[in-house]
Amino acid sequence: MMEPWEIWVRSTALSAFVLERAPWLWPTLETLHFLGLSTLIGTIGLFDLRVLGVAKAIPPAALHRLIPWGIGGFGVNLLTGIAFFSAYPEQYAYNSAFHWKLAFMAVAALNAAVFYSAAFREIRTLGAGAQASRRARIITGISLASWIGVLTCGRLLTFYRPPFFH
Amino acid sequence: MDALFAWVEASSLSTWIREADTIFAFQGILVLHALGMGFLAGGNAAINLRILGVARRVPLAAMAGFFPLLWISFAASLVSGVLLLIAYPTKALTNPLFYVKVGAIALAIGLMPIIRDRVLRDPAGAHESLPARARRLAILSLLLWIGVIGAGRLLAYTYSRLMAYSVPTGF
Repeated sequence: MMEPWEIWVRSTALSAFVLERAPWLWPTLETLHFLGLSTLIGTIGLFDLRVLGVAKAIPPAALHRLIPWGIGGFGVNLLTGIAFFSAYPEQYAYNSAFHWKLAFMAVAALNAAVFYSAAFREIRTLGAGAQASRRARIITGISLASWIGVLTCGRLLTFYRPPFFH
Repeated sequence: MDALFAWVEASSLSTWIREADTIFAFQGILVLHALGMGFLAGGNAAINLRILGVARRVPLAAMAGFFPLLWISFAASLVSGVLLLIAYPTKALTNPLFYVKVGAIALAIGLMPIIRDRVLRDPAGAHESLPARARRLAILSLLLWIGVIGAGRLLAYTYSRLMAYSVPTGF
């Protein structure tokens, strides 16, 4: 039995577009989704790792210029994610892996706000070879862990589809 | 070849990966593969973006400091990939796209030490303007990683046979 919101999502033009363009559109969107997550993990993840002490010869402020690319990757994944959701809303809405994925994203977002208010000033002045404070390392460690959590839950999504998935 | 595929598929390791009722079998291996690929392709992309002029204040040679991470990511992708191959040898090895993916990976991995030694650690590379050759290497690497990811994702849709002795799947 479909809830009213599911009927609405399935009535949108986007939902019809994604379903009608099968079979080639879905794998194309999935490929874009993986390219987006790779860009995100390759920029935000590498920045987090530098603050944690990897590739210390890089001044973190210089590496921070890669972050807009990570945000771009997230934007691609938000758009492709909305397209996935519009086609099969119940696959996601009643899926514990999807709930955990959203929770990890919420942690990453809150943590990013904490980073820019409590650690960015220090990181901006950190030179090549310098070690970040314990506080900055905890915050970037949470960032890295939460993005790994997002990716893990995303990959596990299909195994936790609700039984009435159609 | 079917006899060989069937023998692998009947092995206890292959069966365990496919059928074990634990998140650490098939599901965990897929997660490891996705994480390895994400860090490997994404880390390479970041290095290539730097070569192409993004985040210019990052010293090129310092970018090589991420190579141990990239090799660990490659090892994770390779080990998990081999385990997935052991789980479904027919599915992968009867799909021409699988060989495209492996070929693109071999070329992209082969480019990594070339980019590290001739671009990142090239003393002349410390200057602002990199030679066109360096930019071409970076673009080639980016295209190869896009190809690896595209081919990898499409493997789930393009196989003609799942296992050696099973009816062909119609989709």
